[in-house]
Amino acid sequence: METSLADNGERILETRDLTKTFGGLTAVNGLSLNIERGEIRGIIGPNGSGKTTLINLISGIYRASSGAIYLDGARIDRLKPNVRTSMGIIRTFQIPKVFRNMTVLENMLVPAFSDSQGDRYKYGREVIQEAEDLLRFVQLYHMRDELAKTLSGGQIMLLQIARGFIVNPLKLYLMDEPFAGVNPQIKGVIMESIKEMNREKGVTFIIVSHEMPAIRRLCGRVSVMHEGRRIAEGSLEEVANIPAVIDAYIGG
Amino acid sequence: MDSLLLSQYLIAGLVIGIIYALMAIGITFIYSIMKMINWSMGEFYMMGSYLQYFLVVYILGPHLWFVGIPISMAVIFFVGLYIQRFLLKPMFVGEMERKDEYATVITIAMMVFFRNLAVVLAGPNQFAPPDYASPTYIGPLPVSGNRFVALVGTLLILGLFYLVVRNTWVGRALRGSAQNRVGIQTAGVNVLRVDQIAFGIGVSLAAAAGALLAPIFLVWPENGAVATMKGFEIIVIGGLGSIPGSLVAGLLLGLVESMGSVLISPSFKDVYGFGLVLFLLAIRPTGLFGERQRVA
Repeated sequence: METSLADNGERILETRDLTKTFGGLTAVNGLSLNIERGEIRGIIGPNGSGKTTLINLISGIYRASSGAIYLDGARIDRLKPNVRTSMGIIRTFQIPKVFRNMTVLENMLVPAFSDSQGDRYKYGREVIQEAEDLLRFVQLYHMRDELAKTLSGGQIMLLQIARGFIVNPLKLYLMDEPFAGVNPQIKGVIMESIKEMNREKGVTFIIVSHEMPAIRRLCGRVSVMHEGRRIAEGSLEEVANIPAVIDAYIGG
Repeated sequence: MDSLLLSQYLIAGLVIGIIYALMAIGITFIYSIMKMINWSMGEFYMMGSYLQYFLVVYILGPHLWFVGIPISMAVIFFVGLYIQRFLLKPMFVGEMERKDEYATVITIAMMVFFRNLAVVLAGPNQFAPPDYASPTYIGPLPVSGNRFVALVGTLLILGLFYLVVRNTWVGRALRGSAQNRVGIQTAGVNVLRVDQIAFGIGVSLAAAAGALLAPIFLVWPENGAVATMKGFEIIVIGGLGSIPGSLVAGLLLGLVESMGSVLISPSFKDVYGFGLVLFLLAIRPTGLFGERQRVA
């Protein structure tokens, strides 16, 4: 497998000249991004700036038109989504992809049936225990036997996030608009779980969001995207004063 | 019209209906996971009936017919796995978009191929395996032994199918794939492997129907055509993608056919089913249990 030249062990994810075109539209345009191990990186930018496409490229939903993606120095941009998941890249979707006709607990157990994860389902009882602990962690335990479709929008988002935490190893968690349409109480639970997973398990996060207060509280560094390119990077305060960023947001 | 005769037809209708439902559940199960119609389902029914005939007549002997059924199912399950692996899986490779017409072409080609293969291997003849059981009674009503066996066998297989899908890790992955194909992949499950298992299970249900019905509807190269037709009628009635729908619609179709036969004339047996299909298409095009397709 081709490896990244600049890998110093601290960089968990690198995209190099990553480009995705849909017909005549270039959604992601020559994007090079470095994510350090253990950071919580925010990705912000106006609508249509390519944030979700970037998440889709990293998680394997889309295949890159050109460029490369490296996880821990190993090239991953040709791998199938489930293989990337088993390597430790988890994601959530803005419109949560849960299994609506399964119970909350069953939703949590689905990732265990994965041949590339050492067939963890053979340790059924332990996996169920772990799933229940995670449900307690995100305060959904009391709903464990309810069908997922009976949950509120915010609870479905929580369930989707919690389901990712059961994947092992968990290296990089990509979240696409985790706070969209979520009430403040659940927003708090999501932020706490991100911080705790980051602190306790060293999980790296990439969070796409329009919620600036949440980004400010969670993310040390923020990358700003506009028209498929990265136009700025730094703390939220730093990027907020860069003229190009202001222009992008007010459509200048 | 005496009530004994009527209830006899009623029972016969329910029995045949639940066995038709086995075919329909196989079709709808494959559809709900792979989002493709397997047009060669009847040929798996046909292969199941040939295998059963071969096992009972040449290897196991007439008393061990009940051993033949699981063997036929298992063989067809593996045939299904390999057919999916080499003929159908290519349509899912590459981007997430699929070539839907590919599945139609391949499965219709398989239908033609397997029918002709049966003619080449065993000739265009009809074979009749020995009876599974002698006539028996359900309560006061006499019922053909073969039909009784088929009913009990179908109920056992459906029960097993329910347990596997409901309670096992594979079953969870199967249901997850049916409910959200993208979600299951980002949960780390290899959806192509799930497809393969689903196709194997679906066609083995057809093989079970073929093996169970062999002494009633006999064994010949095109015996699957009727079963496929009934399977699709049930799916239109019950709603594509709904397993409870297939069960209810199967019973309904069986009842309508046998009631039509006894009350009007048995010559038009197939017409009554079509009448029911047309009626349902007029009043509820999604079928009894079908959901309106949401296009994301």
